[in-house]
Amino acid sequence: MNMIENTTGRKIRILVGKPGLDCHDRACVVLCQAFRDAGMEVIYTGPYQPPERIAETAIEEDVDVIALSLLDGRHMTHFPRQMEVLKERNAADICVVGGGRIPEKDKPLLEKMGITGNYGAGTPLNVIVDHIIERVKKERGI
Amino acid sequence: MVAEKEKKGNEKVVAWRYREKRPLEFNTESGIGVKELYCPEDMSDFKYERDLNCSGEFPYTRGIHDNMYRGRIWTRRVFVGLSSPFETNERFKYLIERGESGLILIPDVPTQMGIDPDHPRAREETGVTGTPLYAMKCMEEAFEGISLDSVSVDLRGESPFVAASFFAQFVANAEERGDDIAKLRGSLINDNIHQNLSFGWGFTCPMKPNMRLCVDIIEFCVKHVPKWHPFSLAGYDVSETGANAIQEVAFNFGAAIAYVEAAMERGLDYGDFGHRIAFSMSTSINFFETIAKVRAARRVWARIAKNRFGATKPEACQLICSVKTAGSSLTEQQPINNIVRNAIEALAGVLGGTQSLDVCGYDEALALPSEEAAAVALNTQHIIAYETGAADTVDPLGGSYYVEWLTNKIEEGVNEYLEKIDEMGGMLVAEEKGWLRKEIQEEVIRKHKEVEEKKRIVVGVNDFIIPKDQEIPLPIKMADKEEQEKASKKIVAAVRRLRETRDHEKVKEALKGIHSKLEKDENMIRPMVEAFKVNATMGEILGVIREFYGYNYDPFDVIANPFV
Repeated sequence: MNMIENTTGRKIRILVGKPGLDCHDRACVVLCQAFRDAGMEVIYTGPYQPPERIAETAIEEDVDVIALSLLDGRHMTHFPRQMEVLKERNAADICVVGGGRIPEKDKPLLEKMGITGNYGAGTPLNVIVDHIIERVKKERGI
Repeated sequence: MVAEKEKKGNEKVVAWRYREKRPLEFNTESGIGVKELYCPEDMSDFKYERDLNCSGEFPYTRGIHDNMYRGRIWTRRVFVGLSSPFETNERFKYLIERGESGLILIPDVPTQMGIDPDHPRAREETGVTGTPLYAMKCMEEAFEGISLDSVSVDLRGESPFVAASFFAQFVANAEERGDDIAKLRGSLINDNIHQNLSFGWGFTCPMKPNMRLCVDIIEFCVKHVPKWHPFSLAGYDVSETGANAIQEVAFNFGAAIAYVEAAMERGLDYGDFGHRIAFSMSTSINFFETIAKVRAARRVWARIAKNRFGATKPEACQLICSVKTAGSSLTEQQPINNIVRNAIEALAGVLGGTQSLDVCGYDEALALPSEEAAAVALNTQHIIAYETGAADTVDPLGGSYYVEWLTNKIEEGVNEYLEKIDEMGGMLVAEEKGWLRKEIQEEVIRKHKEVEEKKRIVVGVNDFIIPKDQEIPLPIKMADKEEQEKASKKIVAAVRRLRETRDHEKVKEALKGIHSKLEKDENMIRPMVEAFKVNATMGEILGVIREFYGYNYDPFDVIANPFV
């Protein structure tokens, strides 16, 4: 058992996705590796995914967390839509975390929708990993 | 932190230098170990004529022109990709008035994918991180009132598929304006391998039509637009994706070799187009490595041109490059520091001997460059050109023990990579196998780890951090959802209006013309130009080509060909 299983009961399955047409996915490469190193099971959809596809994959793969990343300024359109689609598909129990180029003023709005984290470039990876573990623990009632 | 207040006892400010530990080993950004001191022994088998030679002489290590910037300052560019061709035009004029000598036009992502703004997947994305360029009228608006033979225009088309469409739009507009296309100057990113590697747009257009259009553009330019650089390799994008200095040059050359060979297979003579190839390169904040990279690239390319392609004319062995400062080196934290990073990187480009330079906006880690940021980026170049003296003599670092040693190291690394690529069966195979992407991803993770572990200090990010509210405020225009949506709606309305008001029959005829040229295996650029002149759109033209090759009209398979 790795550290995550010890603290959260079982492995964390996480989907990393980029909704919309943003092509900047260098951070996703780094994040996927960091999540794997932390003992998570990672599914990366790659860029250019409609929220419907991300939701479908997340449900099929039975993930605990969806991590969304956008750097093109379209997060206030695509992140909320992702939440709507998840709700429509009765998958609102999946934790959604965000990141990318998100201005301070948008962060509380996203938090209110249930999208937490919202970290930008330069955030230490352990801060992001810890945040995800905490959210999953809360979700699992640990 | 520079100084930290001690928590216990009397609060005293402790100076940083007392706690600073210098590393035991030093490496360049691409991981080349750097020695403490470089001496004549480090250049022991050095032969001046063979390794350097004078500028303007083979292998052009010191520069492709004998007098370099004493004859003419590099082409000074700042990229523009605002949400409408109209705004882009205003920014172009603003920059030209401030001394810009070359324009760069960045299209939005839907355009890069070859879909029109009213496509269901494009509607909300059009005009977001670039200019929508779906019809001739976009070029008309973007270049309105600008004399095209006075500036060189860099069209960042990425894949040949889309590049052909841009270029045809550009040529159509020039002809409609009455410009002589033989006088058009500029360059075109026309590089399928890199666009797929960096952006993963391969699904929007398969390799076969891409290679065909790549060569079509070269062939058309050789005959009709001789001053144009018909294929510029997108090394910059690969570098931004994470490639290190050695990989960037090697992948650039690997791709160039693949395209040159395809063109030679078509029967084109390397001597007729070799001198029109251009390489887009990145700088990195690693100052000397960037300089060495540009110098080494010239030497390696000269030898490839001579030995591999049998080039005999001097120009066909000269590597023409355009350098852009690295967006990925800029930080969201304390963006004012980005002005310094940009200046250092731009200077490295100049000391490396670039032909053209594009400097990022200080706000580029956060937003599309504002007018103010673009002006600073341009002035950075003017300051280097006229105040520093860096442009007053050719290759001022030539002969430096360290720079020459590093130039050799980069050359060795590039040649090793090129051998591997050759063994694999060429760049197309290496790309298809996913090997290139894997190599780059490993590098991305390695570089990030260095920053995480503080092996590489990034000021304001992993050291010298200050609270956000203590940052020096700068005018940065962050993306705004409402504004973006308003702009997108306007563009979608414009393309719909165009479809309603144009002569439908003429469009149909022009698209038939494209189809028949495809069947006859003839050059596609002229029929594309003619189709744009009757207001066909990019999505329609590229859709016809996709269908001819047996793919869906629409890369997302959401819309059908309306002309069937």
